[in-house]
Amino acid sequence: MQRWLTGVTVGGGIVFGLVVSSLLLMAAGVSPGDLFNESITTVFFDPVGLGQVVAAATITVVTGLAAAIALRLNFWNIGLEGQMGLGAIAATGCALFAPVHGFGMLIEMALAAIVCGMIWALVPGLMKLYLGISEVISTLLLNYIAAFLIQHLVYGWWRDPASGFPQTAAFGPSARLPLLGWQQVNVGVFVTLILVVLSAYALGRTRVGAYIAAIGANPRAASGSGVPVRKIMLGVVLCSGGLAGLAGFMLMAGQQYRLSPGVGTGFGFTGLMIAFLARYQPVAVLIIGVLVAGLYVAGDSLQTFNQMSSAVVGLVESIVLMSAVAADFFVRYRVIKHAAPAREQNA
Amino acid sequence: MSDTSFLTHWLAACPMFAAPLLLAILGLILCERSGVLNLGAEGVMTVGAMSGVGIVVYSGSTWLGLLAAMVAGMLLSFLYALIVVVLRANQVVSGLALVAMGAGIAGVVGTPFAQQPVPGLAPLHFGPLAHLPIIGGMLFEQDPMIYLTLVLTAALSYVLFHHRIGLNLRAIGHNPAAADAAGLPVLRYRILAVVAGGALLGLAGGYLAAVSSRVWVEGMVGGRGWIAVALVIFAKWRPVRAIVGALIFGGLDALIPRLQATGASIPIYVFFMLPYVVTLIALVLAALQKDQFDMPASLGRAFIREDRH
Repeated sequence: MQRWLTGVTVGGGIVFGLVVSSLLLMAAGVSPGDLFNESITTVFFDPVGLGQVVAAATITVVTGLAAAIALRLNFWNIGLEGQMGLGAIAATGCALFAPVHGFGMLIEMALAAIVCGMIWALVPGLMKLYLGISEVISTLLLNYIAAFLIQHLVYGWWRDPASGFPQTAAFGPSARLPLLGWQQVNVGVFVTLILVVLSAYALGRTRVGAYIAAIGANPRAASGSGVPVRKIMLGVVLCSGGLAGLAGFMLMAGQQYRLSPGVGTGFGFTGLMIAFLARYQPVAVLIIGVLVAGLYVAGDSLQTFNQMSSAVVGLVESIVLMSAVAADFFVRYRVIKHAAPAREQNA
Repeated sequence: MSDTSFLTHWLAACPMFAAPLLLAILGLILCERSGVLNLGAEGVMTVGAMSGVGIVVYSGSTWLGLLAAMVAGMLLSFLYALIVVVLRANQVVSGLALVAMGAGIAGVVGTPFAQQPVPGLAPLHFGPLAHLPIIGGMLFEQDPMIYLTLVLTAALSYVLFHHRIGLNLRAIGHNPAAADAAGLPVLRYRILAVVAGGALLGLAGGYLAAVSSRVWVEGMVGGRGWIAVALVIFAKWRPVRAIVGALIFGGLDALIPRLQATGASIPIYVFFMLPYVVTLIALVLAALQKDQFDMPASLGRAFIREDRH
């Protein structure tokens, strides 16, 4: 398959989706001028808006990577949200109840978040490998369990008595990622860039990367030629969960500074969407992750200034994704017309 | 409140919570038996719920609302069918997109009539039968949709296992290439199955909003579509078994607000977790029994004629 053709078609699908979405939003009462201002000018050509985009992209790119590496093995990690949630719980727990002095605090939080994200991914991984249970269902159920666990904590055990809201107390300064002086952009942005480079290297240039490609193409053939399929699969699932957990930590320590209900909601679908549009390529994940972050920022201002439902971001995402997925058809298949053949005959 | 009256009232409330789940599971069984996975159930139910209540608010008729919910479910599912059956797009990612799309459409369109109460359906009365102890209310004092849902379950079961159409559908879900070679129109069957399943999903959402809850608010489907996706596996793609799954989960749904009302201090979020934990355990048990052979073998895979062997 020609690479440029894939790029052109997916790009065409994205553009088509954006046009359809804009028309829908205008039909719903957003004026074209507002739409252009709020979704392009103030998002990408304004230092404040761009800062918000970079801050949001720090998280979306990591979730995109988490989805992409698992998708390389055709493992549909729908559970990114739950793994992020567990990461957020772990980071919060460390920040509030196990404080350490200095830089060690952030390291402790990050490690705890990665481990908890991994554990939350390990369960469906084992269920798939040893019992053949579809990871689509099991990861999804675990999302709900994680969401209710967070609510149990913020409405009960961990609730900050000083606050009227269901949330924990705010983190101390040592548990916050240092800001770089541009909006909410923090050192997490370097972590994200390093992760993109690392995963591009690992997937493209190492033996493990080659194994992953082989299993993704045909697990039986890979197993037959001596690839340790189970080990690699478990490893990849753990990496995916760990990355999602880390994203949960970055959300807590970099932006929200406290646990509240609904942490990570929507990030799971977003991560999968980014990975799918990026064809599981880490560098493409970076580019699409930034665009999707722009969509989030634009969606926020549409909500604030045009009283749109918060579901509008999901609507735009889904239209873009569906268009890109449908456009894919024209890359993979060629439509051939046959001159009215006898009925049951085929090509 | 005495113990038996608590039990009677809870049992009487179960069908109303179980029916939307049952309808959704039936819709998904129909769809998946043809080999098409529909993870978008949550989205289709959401659009059904919104359009159902919307039409009730504007027309005043609950039945018209339920009909509108079905039509809305069919339209959205037809789009899904075009994408995954005709254009052969990946069913997992398209299904996820359908969930976000349904929530988005409902959120944008439904704002004007969110939070508005609607009348619901009055229960039928079967005379003295409704006064039977314990089970009287549960079995003989329900609204007409409950009984229609049971009739639908039986009908779907009959069509799937005792009628040529069902045989064809199962053949297509099991081995589309063989079915195609035998002259069955695979794509047509699949599109119709997805759309008909979508009608049931829309109806499930419409019933949930216009009859069980009697109000529409954003996010009210609250994961029931996903529960239905999981319960299809629990039901082993058989309509009659779906009744059991729907009753267990509907029962839990009906129990939680009742327990809260008694004032007992219970960790409600742990309770809300239970259905998901139970489904997970049910999946593990089903897998351990190695008894999943009824799963349509081509589930989730697009049919491409050149694949014919």
